Amino acid sequence: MKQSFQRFGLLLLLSSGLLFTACKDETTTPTPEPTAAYGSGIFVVNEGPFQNGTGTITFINRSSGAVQQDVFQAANGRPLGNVAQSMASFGTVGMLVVNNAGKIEFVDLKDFKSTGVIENMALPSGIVVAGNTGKAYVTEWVSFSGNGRVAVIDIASKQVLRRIAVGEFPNAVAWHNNRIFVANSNQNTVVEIDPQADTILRTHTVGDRPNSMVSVGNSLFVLCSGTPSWAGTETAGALAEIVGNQVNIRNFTAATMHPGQLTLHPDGGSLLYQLPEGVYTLLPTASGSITPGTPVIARSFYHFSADPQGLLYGTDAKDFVSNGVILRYERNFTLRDSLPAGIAPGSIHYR
Amino acid sequence: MKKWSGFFVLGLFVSPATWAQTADTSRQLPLVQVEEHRHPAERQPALQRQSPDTLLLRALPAASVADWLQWQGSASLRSYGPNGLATLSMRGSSAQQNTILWEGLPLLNPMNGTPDLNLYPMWLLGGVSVQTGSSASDFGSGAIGGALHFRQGIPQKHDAAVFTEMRSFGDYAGGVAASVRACKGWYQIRGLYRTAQNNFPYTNMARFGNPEERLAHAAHAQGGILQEAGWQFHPNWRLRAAWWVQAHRRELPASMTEQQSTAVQADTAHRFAVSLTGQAGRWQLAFRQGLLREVNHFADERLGFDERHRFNALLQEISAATTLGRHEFSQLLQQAYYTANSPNFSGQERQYRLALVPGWRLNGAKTTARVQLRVEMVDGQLVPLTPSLQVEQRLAPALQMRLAVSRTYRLPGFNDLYWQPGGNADLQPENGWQAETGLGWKKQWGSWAFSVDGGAFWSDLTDWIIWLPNTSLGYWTPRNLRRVQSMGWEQQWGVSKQWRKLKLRLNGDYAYVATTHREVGVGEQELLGKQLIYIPKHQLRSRFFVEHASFFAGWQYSYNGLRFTSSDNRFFLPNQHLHQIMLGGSKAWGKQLLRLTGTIHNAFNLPYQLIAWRPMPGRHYQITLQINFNAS
Repeated sequence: MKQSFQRFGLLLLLSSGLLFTACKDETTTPTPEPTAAYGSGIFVVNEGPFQNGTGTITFINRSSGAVQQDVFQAANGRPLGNVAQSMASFGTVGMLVVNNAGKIEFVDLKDFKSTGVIENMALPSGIVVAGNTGKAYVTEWVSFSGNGRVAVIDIASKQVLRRIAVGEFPNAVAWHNNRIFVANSNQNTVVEIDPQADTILRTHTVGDRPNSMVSVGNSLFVLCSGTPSWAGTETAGALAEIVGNQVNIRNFTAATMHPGQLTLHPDGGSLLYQLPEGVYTLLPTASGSITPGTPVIARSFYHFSADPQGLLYGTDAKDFVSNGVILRYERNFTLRDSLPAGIAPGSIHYR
Repeated sequence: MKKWSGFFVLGLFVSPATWAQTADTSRQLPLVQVEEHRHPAERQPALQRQSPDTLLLRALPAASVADWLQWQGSASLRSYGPNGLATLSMRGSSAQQNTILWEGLPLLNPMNGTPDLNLYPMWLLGGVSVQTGSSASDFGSGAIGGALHFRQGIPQKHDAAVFTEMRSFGDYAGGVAASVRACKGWYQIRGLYRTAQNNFPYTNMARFGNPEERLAHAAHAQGGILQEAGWQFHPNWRLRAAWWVQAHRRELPASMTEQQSTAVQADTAHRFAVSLTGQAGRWQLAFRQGLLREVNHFADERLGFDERHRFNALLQEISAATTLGRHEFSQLLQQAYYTANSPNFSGQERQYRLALVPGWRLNGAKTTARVQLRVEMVDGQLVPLTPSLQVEQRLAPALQMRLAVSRTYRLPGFNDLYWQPGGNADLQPENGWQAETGLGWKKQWGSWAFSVDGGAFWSDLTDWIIWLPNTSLGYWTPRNLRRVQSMGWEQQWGVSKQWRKLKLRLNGDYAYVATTHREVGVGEQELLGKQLIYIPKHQLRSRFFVEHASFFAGWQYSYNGLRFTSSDNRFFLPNQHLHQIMLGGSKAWGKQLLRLTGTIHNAFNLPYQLIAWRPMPGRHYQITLQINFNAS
């Protein structure tokens, strides 16, 4: 019995954050600038204990560094749900994706009180807001075998407008050049969706197992972990650059290199990614095979990303049944401080 | 046999909860008389052992071992819900650090090593007892916190019994049992079927407005047959063979914080055991063989899972013991061969274990002592040598002291070693030491009987296996990371009074268990000194029974102290108080005996959880009708 739960739990967690951490769309520009209590700051999405627990949201005041734990429970008197996965915001609306609970919670960022919920989602994972269209796109795995889909959400009415079938394990989703890009993280493809018609424009072939994406100018960089040895024939990780219809792929030099957690340095000049040995930098303009070199931060994180307005954030989930911590690094990669998080801090939303 | 009976009597000195049962209640045990301490390795002085109260067996014949342990003893139960996964912790152990033995043969699944106590219905098993404390030198890997012993008794006559019971939330059960005793042979069969919807109402604290909901997708069905045949073909020699087949299918409900579940688990088990025991000259000899075959089928339509996990086990042991005066020398040879298939393994995995256990025992007038050393090899690799020392000393006619020291260990399971991805073939066994000491006092004054037993224990276990993610590789992997220390106090008491046809009985168990991390991994210093999750520091069970002629009433109380749900002790489940009330009566009709019992579970309708966000049922009811044929 335990084995079954373990299998379930392991797969769930494995798929929920360790390998395929969704990339936050840093180019999202909500229309009205809110003046709410949670209008500006850092939201850490804590997955919570993956079998019998609830996710939580940790809010960090960017300027003071003050931390508020479990703001959803505090505002609503109920838990968020099992395996909180990701967050996005549009104006004063916050959207929290809760994977195993199969729902999207809508909150008012003035006070974090719930304003609605979309239920019966099929293992929702990543979320991105499509510019000023008033729509959000949420990836749904649907199951642990077979293809997933993308749910198109009307933020104002809190309705699912339609669903678009995509590939296996769609996880990371990004807004780039007025298009939606969805990484099929169990395959080697990225689907490009037209947000006007909500149809698939094209499918780009990238490296194996795309896990995170970053938009830089006209380029969308897609980091692919490659296939690990336990999942078949081992292949090296790769960085794919999508420009229009073109895809330029740069492989890592060793098949044993399986990178993840692609993010853009706040200075905008370099990409950051993670290997077991630590966090590395990469120039978007470079070419040829990728040799990692020396890590700029010599440790790895459960989640790692950069605040476009400031610091670098890495999370340590410890043993996944106790509260984790958030480690903040300066732009020059020196450790600034650490802050408390909830259980299994798995993604961060910056606004 | 007389000698063995003597040990049984001695055993009572350390089992006060058993003493408190009157002779009459033990006479009403179903069908068979349990033959105590038939297995040499079970003749452990100084280790506490308890059996279910006979009235509990009478009122709740379809109860599982989990149902029983919720109300008696010092084990802490973690249950995902009625008929759901239920594991136990004894003395701060993890679920895998306990073992289950059927006729002395270990039943544990070598893949995950986690016993699910809801898969063991007591009706089928005949005799059940729980023993606390390490018996690793006897039973090997996993016998750290304690052991559950399942043992068929030998029928003394022809008899039979049937029962049927109805319980709230669509829970129905029925069972039959029959035994035939010829001059030199016997045969017994027990069968059980139980089905339940488990659609009880609860308040969903995780949903907006805390609505009242009914638990969905929680149905289960269970059936099993256990047969045994025996032949006393020589005054000193006995041959027994048993076959136990069981199937269990259950829907796995979602927790309050999850979406609706579609997961289903089906378990089937075939278990065979053969034993040949006897005496040749000064030697007591025993040969036992077991064959286990279990299949675990897990499917989830929503998530797209459909997996089968199988294991087979061939277990053999030969024991020999001889007595020279007060000294007894024994030798035990055990071997086990396991194979397992899982879609999560790269192929069929195998393991061979061979153990040699020499022992010495002193059977003094006031002192019983036992020393053993277990030498075991697993696939050719020596595992920690496991010595044990157990001493019992009678300080006064009513006062008994005990002391036990043992090394303990647990081998990593197949999942720990071979799971793809993440299995770690370099894992070392968890290993450590355990010690306990205590005093037991028993006194009879006229129709009053009193018993008190208290003892302290300490254990230290290192190389504790824990699964943690390899953050960058994207999968979890087990490592020998932590050291855990447990210490505590266990107290049992019993009072009984008989006045003409009126019998009163009050028993109780209290346990204080402090189980803390003493060494942790890098970055986990905050966990040092923190209580392990789901292990209450304080736990209390109490039972009060009144019998008058053919009627009885019973009350059971279970208190679980606060249980932490996060290893930094920031989150917890509050303490809980549960009450159960039973009323029953019996009517003799010739040699037939009809029993009718009603039970109110969770009598005060208190909401509680044994695992976070897993609701448990509020007040509900049960009625049981049992007929014994050829009852004496």
